[in-house]
Amino acid sequence: MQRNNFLLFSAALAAACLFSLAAGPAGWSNADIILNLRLPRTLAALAVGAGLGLAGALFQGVLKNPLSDPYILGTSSGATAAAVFCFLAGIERTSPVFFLAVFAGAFGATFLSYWLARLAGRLSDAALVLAGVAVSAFLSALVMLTLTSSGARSFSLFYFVLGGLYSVQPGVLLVSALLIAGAAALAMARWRALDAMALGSENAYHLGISPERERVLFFALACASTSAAVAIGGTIGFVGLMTPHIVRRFTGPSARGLVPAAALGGAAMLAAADAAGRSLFSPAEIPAGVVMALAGAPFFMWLLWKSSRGRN
Amino acid sequence: MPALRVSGLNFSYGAGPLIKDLSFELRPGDFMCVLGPNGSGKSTLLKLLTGFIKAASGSVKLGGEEAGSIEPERLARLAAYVASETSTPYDFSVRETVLLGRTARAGFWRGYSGEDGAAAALALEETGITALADRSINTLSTGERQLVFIAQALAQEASLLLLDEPTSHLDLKYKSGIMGLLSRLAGRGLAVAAVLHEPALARLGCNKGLLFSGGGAYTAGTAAEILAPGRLAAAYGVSPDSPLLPK
Amino acid sequence: MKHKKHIAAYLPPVPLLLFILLAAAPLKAEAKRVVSLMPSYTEIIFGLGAGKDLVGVSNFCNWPPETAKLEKTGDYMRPNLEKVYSLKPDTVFAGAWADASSSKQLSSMGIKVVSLPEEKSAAGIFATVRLIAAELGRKREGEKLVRKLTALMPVKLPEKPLKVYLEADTGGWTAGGESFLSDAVRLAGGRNIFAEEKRGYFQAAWEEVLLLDPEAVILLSGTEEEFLARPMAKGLAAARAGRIITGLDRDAFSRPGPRLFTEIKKLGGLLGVPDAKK
Repeated sequence: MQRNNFLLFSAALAAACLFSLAAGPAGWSNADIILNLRLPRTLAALAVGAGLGLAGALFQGVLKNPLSDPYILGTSSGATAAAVFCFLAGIERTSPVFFLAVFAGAFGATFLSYWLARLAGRLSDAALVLAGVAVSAFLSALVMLTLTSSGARSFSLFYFVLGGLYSVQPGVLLVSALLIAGAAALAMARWRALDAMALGSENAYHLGISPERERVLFFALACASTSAAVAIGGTIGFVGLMTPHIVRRFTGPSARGLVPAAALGGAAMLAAADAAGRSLFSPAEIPAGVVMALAGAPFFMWLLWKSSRGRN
Repeated sequence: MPALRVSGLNFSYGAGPLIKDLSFELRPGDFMCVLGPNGSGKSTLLKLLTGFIKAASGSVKLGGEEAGSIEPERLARLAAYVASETSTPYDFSVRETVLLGRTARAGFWRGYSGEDGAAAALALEETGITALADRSINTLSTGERQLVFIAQALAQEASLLLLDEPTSHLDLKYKSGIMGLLSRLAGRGLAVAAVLHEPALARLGCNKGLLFSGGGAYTAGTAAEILAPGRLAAAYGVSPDSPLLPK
Repeated sequence: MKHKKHIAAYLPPVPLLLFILLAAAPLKAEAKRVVSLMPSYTEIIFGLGAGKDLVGVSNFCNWPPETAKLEKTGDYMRPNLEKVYSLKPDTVFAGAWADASSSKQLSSMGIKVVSLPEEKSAAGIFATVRLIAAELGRKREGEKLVRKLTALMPVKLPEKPLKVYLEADTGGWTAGGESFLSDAVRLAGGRNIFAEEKRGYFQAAWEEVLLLDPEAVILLSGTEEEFLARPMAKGLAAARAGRIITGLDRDAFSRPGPRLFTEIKKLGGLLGVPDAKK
């Protein structure tokens, strides 16, 4: 990554962390609150934001589709289905079993999409996306059916789907953070393969890549990253789709700069959004995902408008 | 040692045989044109040669080794391939695209070395697009794009160069320019094979030819032999005095 | 024959009496067909002794046990209109939650829909009781029920009520001043820490809860362990005093119906309000 960009992103990250640690009704004077409450929450926001930003960048590269988000292969519906199952079975949101179930659901749904596309004999990008849409739709319908027939009112579930970082346990946060960091490291160590994949599998093969292997590998990394993020933060939208687009304007399309920037950018944005959500509307708390969509979408449109003016 | 030796290659997409018992050789310095009507198996042949498509039977030897048993990374150092069309959803620069040709030699994670930079610069120079190096690939004309991907293949520094319709969407200047470039490369010791739609172009430097007539039938020989009007007319299904055939 | 009145002298008042009796009878024997689209209304109707008038209830109406035998008409936001119509009700009680178009459609089918306003306090609940009672022609039973419920509440509220944090759903979902839940806490002798908020139901930031340092915590869902596992939860006044209350019946406490008041009495006792222990 160019030095300017690196400085820019580091500064943004630092600013977001500062904001997240300082924001809250208790002000800045209470060291206890900052250390025991805001710090873990900031770390959670950084991990989830990084995980989603990373996954978005990887999916957009591997599927050659700028409209890909981390949930494109059914990951979010898998996670929600698992969450519903947990709520109905009485498993607490904060228990490790919940984390494992949601992780398995998210990962499983993606795997199911891949397997369905493979079964149909068509592993093209379009076929994969379609399989993902089918799996998503099916699982979502299943969730709706279960909710309406069980009659259980569950704001917890609603909140999970909206996505938020209310009470994240340090144990599962550590596991998630390690998974996401590992996925990021592995992805960054193969940046050139991702760039080659962007030219299509025929071209990639002839440049010396095994397209099938790389695709499965990047899917697995993106999927692990997404599942880890969703298991602690719920299905937060927007971050995964928009972060790569926003940082691409600074780093260019090459994965060498884009992948780490997407992770850092996602972390910074979500930390800032979470901080805003829990401090600007006191005593109420607006979930981070909602803040991101409200603030992020106009910001992205402004970026788009500014760059098109620059070109003309 | 021939850069490429094909023996008894067979392939079909299902209906009837497309490639039947194909055998030919390509030596360093050869510039072979692959001709034939649409659907006769020209593009398929190139993909069979690199192992992108697996043949039903037969052998393809690159530099003495079975192509099917070489991993893609090593294969890319032996043979380079230019597709007829490549989609570019993201705005990579020309330089970045050409540098990707160094993937097989640079590995996945390290930056580009001085050697990589030099190879890319040379490739840009040979294709004459050095001035376009910092432009986004999506802002180029079709001809310029084609040159970028040829440069990318050149940056691989392979000894065999395979091109699928490199001149199809180009104007006459580019057509003759590219044929001249390929001819020069063959002169320097590369083995070059190009699928062409216009037999006349083969006059601009090819010394060998492969003509497909459909259904697996083919003729392999010198360029002069292949370009005989009667033979071409039969293969393409046009009259022997058609103005499109080279005289 | 001055002291012996003829039997015929008694005759004139008899037809009058008969007429009065016959005219009054339909008022008493009139069998109403009632559909209730909210669980709280169902419970109120049973509390008024009019349970046998019910011919249909929402899916969520699960109290008293007799509701199990009643026809279900769907959820309270979007009731199954055809089902409601097929039960041929005289009156349908719909709440503020109900879709406006459902009420309109039912009215257009010739069914009387009584839309009751949302209850934001105990007074609101009593108003609902009276409205339903009036509709069913049971005004006396209505007053009786209101008196009974009022008696359940502690009369003398403490001068310094305990600060209470009420969590209705895990994840910080609490009630502001515009919710009857907040009023319930007040009537039980406590004070909802968010009573000044001009909202009904919202999600409170955990940091805010910590700052307000409640002396008692009511959890309507979730366990004490999960609550205490939250960062810095153990330092709360409520945690140190051991006042994490999970024993309230969630359904009873979260419905603006008669059972709420039993829970209020229970809560009063748990908060240590002397009057509640009687």
